[in-house]
Amino acid sequence: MKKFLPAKRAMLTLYLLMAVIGLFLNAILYRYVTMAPDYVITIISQAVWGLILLVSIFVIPHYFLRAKFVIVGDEITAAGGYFTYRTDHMRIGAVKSVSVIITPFGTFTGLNFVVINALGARTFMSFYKKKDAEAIADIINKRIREMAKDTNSEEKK
Amino acid sequence: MSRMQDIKRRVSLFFSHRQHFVKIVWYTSKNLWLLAIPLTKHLIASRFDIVQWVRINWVDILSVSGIFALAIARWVFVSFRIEDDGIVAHTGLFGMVRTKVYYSQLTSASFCQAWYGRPFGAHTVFLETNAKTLSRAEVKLLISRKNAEKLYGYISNVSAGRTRATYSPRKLHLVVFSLLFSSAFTGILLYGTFMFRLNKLVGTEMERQVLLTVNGEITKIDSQTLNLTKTVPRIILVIAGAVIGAWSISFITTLVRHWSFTVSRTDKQLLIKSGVFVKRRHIINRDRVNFCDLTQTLTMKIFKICSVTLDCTGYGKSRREISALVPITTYDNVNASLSMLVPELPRAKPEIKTGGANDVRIFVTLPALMCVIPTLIIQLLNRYFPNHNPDLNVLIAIITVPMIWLVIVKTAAAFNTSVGFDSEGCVLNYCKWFRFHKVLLPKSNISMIRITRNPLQLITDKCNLLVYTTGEKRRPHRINFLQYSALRELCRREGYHMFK
Repeated sequence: MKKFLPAKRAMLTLYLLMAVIGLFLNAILYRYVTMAPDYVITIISQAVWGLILLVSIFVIPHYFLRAKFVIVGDEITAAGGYFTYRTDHMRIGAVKSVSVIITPFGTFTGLNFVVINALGARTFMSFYKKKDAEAIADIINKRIREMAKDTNSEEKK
Repeated sequence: MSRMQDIKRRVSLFFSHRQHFVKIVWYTSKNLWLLAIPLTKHLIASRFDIVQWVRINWVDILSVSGIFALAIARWVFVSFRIEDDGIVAHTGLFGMVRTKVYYSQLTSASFCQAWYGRPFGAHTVFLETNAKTLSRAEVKLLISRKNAEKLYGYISNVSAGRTRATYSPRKLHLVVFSLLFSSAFTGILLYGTFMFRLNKLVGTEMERQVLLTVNGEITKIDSQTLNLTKTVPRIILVIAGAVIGAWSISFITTLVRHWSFTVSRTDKQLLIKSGVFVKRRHIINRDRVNFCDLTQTLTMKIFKICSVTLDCTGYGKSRREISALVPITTYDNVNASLSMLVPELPRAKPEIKTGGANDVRIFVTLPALMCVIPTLIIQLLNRYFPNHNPDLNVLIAIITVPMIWLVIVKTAAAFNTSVGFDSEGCVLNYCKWFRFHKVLLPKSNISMIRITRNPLQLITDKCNLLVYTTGEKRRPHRINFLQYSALRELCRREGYHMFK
């Protein structure tokens, strides 16, 4: 059984991103929204920060506490979800392709993703270490090759 | 390596991974044929004075000629060859793309002959395999009748067996089927598509005239017959007219599409024929059928009838076609029909069911809350905008009717939601909006299962199960509000790894 967990540094990156988004929205609000009364702008600004706070306290930790990726035998099991808790179960035999998305500075930010495509289904795993994302793709591809070999040898027999 | 050589290598690498640059012209040339319309208009305006017409419009004439020349060149280069084991198609620029599709690998083949193609003996052929998951066909060709018959013969010969069973529904059943599967929404889509195409072809003025004519005729009919405009608010009449008109369009289209429906089973294939104006013939590879779906509305449930559709790549993909296997049948006959047409389909029994009083409450809560929204809106409008048009209140109240119907449907859904597995297949019973589905599929056709739980469901030991099946579209079967602990045990038994 192989188990992978999302990168903790991705959590830090997301917190930083949330702070930057908050500052950016507030800057736009105070600099360019001049037609609205001051108290309206203050309310909107507080709402933005409130939303960011909620996301930071509940949504992001929820994902990082729940998310995991496990390969057991011929089955892939992935858990995750931001607002709900979801688990995906996919047979490796059904997998058609695996895509790894490594963003620039992905090694430092942890913003790397794995997409597993099957005929009629897709599972998306977010925020894995670069080496973990590549390892997941390697393991699945290796297993697919082994299964194809087994099928070929059975057909020859 | 010098700097110059390095740049050359990089440029060469860039082009080697790109499509041919002629594709850029291809991408921009769509619909340029419309230039022919103003040209013809100018020719008529100049009273067919060809010399003057050419002198003024030579650039446009040259462009249009170029476009048509390109189309002719494409027609020349795109070719096909029907072979014993497959069809070879040369497509793309100068027919350089050579694709061979083997008959044995086809999921479905569709032969359509439109009413306008019949005098010329033109058939459109769509060949589909499971190789692509895109929404377009693997091979799409417009060919002569002779070639279509030859190809049909080759593909249907793959089965090389005699017809085992044939099923043809009664005409009355087809009318009922069209009645039940017609929707105002589809009608509006059809009407919208017609108006959009009209706008593209002849401009907005003609479209406006059509709308005015239709409106005028409706008013005339009303003034001569029921005179409803004097008693019923105009907005209600307009909406009712639109809904009835759109529904009628949808009904006629569905009926015409499925008239003379016949399905035959051979050793390996299903041969389906249907249609009046557009004659359709489908060959479906039985091994490649993803699942069968027994669809019902609440009315159908009450009358104990259902419609059987099947999911197979390519079948039912063309616009507004229903992938019917048995358009309409009764409960008594459905098992016999399925055994006759798809005997290999596993029939698992439901294992986890919903249906207690608590489940009814869960199923009904959200639709019931939605019913309150129109009343709230009316209250708010009366309070804050007392001078608004009172017809608006009637309109909002009408919206409540389908919502109340949804509550009734969801109450029935609470007793008709279940899931079950056996050694070969699985059964999924669920309700999606107003329709009930009973999906039967082999276990090997399950691509993925997803279990989701919202915070409330974490407390109440409930979950939603999404079953993704092999097929060209990612369209899961969603079974809501199942008991999590029971489903967990079921999934464990079926070999799925469950987290603690």
